Amino acid sequence: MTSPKQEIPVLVMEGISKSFPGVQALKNVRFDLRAGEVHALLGENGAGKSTLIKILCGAYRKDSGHIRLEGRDLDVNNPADARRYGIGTIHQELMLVPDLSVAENIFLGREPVRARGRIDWKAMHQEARRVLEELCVSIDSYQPVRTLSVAQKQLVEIAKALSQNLRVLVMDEPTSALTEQETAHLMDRIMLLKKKGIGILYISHRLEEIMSVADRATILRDGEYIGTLEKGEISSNRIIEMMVGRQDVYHRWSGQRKIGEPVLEVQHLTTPIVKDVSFTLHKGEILGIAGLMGSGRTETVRAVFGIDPRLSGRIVLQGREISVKHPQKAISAGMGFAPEDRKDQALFLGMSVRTNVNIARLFLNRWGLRRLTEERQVAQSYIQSLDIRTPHLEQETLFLSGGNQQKVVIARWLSTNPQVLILDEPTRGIDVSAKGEIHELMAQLAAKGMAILIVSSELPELLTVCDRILVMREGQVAGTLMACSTTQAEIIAYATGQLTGGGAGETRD
Amino acid sequence: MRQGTSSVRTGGPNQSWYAAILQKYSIWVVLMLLVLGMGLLSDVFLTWGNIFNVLRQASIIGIVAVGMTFVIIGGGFDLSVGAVLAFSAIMSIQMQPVTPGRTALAVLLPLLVGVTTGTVNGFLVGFLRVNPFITTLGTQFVALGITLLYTNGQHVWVWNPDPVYAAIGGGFLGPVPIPVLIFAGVAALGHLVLSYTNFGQYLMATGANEGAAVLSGIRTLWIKVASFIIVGTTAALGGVVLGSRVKNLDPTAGIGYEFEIITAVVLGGTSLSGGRGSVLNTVAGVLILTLIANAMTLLNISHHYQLVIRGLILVGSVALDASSRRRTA
Repeated sequence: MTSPKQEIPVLVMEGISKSFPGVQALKNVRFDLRAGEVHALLGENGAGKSTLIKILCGAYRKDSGHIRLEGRDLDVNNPADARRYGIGTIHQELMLVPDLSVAENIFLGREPVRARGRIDWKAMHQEARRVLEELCVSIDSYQPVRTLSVAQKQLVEIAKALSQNLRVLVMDEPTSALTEQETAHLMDRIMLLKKKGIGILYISHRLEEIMSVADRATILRDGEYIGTLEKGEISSNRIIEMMVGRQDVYHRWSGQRKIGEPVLEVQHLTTPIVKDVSFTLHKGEILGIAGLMGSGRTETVRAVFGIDPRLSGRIVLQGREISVKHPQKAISAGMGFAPEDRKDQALFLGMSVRTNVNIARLFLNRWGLRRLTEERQVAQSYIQSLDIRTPHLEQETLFLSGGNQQKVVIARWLSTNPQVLILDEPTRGIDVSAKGEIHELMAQLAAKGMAILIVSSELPELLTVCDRILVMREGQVAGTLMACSTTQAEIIAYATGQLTGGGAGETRD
Repeated sequence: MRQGTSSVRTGGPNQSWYAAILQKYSIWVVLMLLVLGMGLLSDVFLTWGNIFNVLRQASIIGIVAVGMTFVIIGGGFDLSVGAVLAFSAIMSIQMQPVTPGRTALAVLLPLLVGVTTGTVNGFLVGFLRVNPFITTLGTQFVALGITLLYTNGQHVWVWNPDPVYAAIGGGFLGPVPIPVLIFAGVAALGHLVLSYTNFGQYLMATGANEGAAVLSGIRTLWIKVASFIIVGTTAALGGVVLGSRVKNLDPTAGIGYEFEIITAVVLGGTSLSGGRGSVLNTVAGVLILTLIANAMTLLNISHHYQLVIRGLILVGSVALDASSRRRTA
């Protein structure tokens, strides 16, 4: 595996820094890649992985640092530059045109042409077939991409990358939507790419996959470079330790909260993605939902809140079954929901902090007119109690930092005084101190009797704030664990299917 | 109560609350400059007679522009207003409002037509999710076709209308023409609804981010339907005023109205992408547009040049809207 040729890095990234308003996403990060190796890039959500690869493939511009390819300094300003230098990317969301054929997709923008600009269809399909054969893939080059499975589409992306004389291939969570068998198939293709001397930057949350495929692994945490493990050193314990690091940020919840009677009972909830999910949330309890991407965590809470339609199942709030056909029903029954993508799904970016806080519960006088004084008072009180940093009430939320935006969304729901608050990835992409503040806030709310349901990809976060953790896998509940007695390793084991069945937490019901 | 300039810790523009207000209503500054400029250029311009004349010219377009502001803020669009306006005007005249009873019919029936077409447009756009441009392009032709069928393609007129009916478009209250009062009333009501009711706020939210609006418990589909009903009603009201004013109308008279109405709304700063806009600024947009037309007439600029200039104003204000959106995106 370790021929001397592999030791010379093809790609070197050094001293890379990048900041966004309110967040330093990368601080002096380095990463190198040798020819023919798979180098895994690991870190929790928000650690800076995607920022780093976006800089590499030209989607973002770095604030400082160098990128060298085969000793040459690169200036990657846009995705076209990156492609010209032989840096290809397979994004998590595939970038194919569904109505074009496989061959047209492979050669999109680089079609072989004959005289007078006519496309040489024959050459295009021939070349496409050659690349597909090289990958040992049997897909018809004339087939429209729309008709392919996700795994097949991914292979088309790889064929596309392979056809353009690649030196470096970035794969961002390539297996997140694949079955086990498809994953194994993909791993074989990755070996083929390695043999061709292509360096692969590999991002995945599945640790066992990393252990089988990666030659080296670099770990980022909070935008900083933590270390690089060589093949022999890679173990899931070591990786988790480096990813989690600084235990001091997360004060593990040790005290006992007073947990009361059941508030929300979800019974046999089934949607096209979620299968027969049941759980109970109690007064004053914080229940976490863990699981890999695509395990149905978000879909579960969306169905509970009435955003996604249910196929079957009951939702019982305080002993009464409620019909949640529209979020409005869920809200009037006493629920609040802060979705995972706050900019896209929660905020009205062009509108003021005041309006964003008040939109779910406008104060009206008896003529049906808004009471603006009340709106200001409510917004002002949350600005103070949640320490929302904004120059004034009328500031557009567009200009707030991620943490402050999230607080605005939480304030919106607090103002409706809900019995159940659902938070989907409440601290994604916000800085460490704001994260701590939001955790603190959740603990305070629970102490006052609010029932909180939190979905998070960050296991330390769940272990910090939750009383119990529901682990989901492939749309089902894989296990329910007590946060005080479980470990990250145990959660991951349930999430990846190494452990199944019950778990300690069910005993509470 | 309001914080003017507290310590600024976010990355945004650090302008004060007052500067933001000034920026929000900058179109009124443009209007005032235009009025002053015209006053200097022409002796007749700043006479009461001409001012009320301009306002009366503005009133029909203005009434409908208020409704159009609602639809565009909600993320919709309505091309059918011109045709609905003409149909209402024709229907109003065809009711032969020579007695008080017939006058009531001549007002109420067209309004009913406006509500109906608005409801149809709203359901097509809101519930069936048909593109609003195409939907209302279609209903525009349906309305025009029905108008032509209804009139057999002939002129319609009314002799000796009831004085109440005649007053709607042609009367005065003191020195102020009645259509101007109707426009002012519609604008005041529109501003109140948009800025001070929960419906107005829900409409803004729906246009700004429909997904987030749904998650905030807003029934966005109904909000959209309501916005189309509002514009349909204002188009019909504009039609009644027009019918009463001219009393003699060609069935194709409504063609082109939608163009001026939409220009006025966009000029007033309402964003074509929805979520942003103000009735007061639409009023300024309507006045500016009418003033420019009035000025061009006073300065003897031919109708053909006027069309070119109006087109340029529309394109220019859309470009301005798009570039300001790019800056904040």
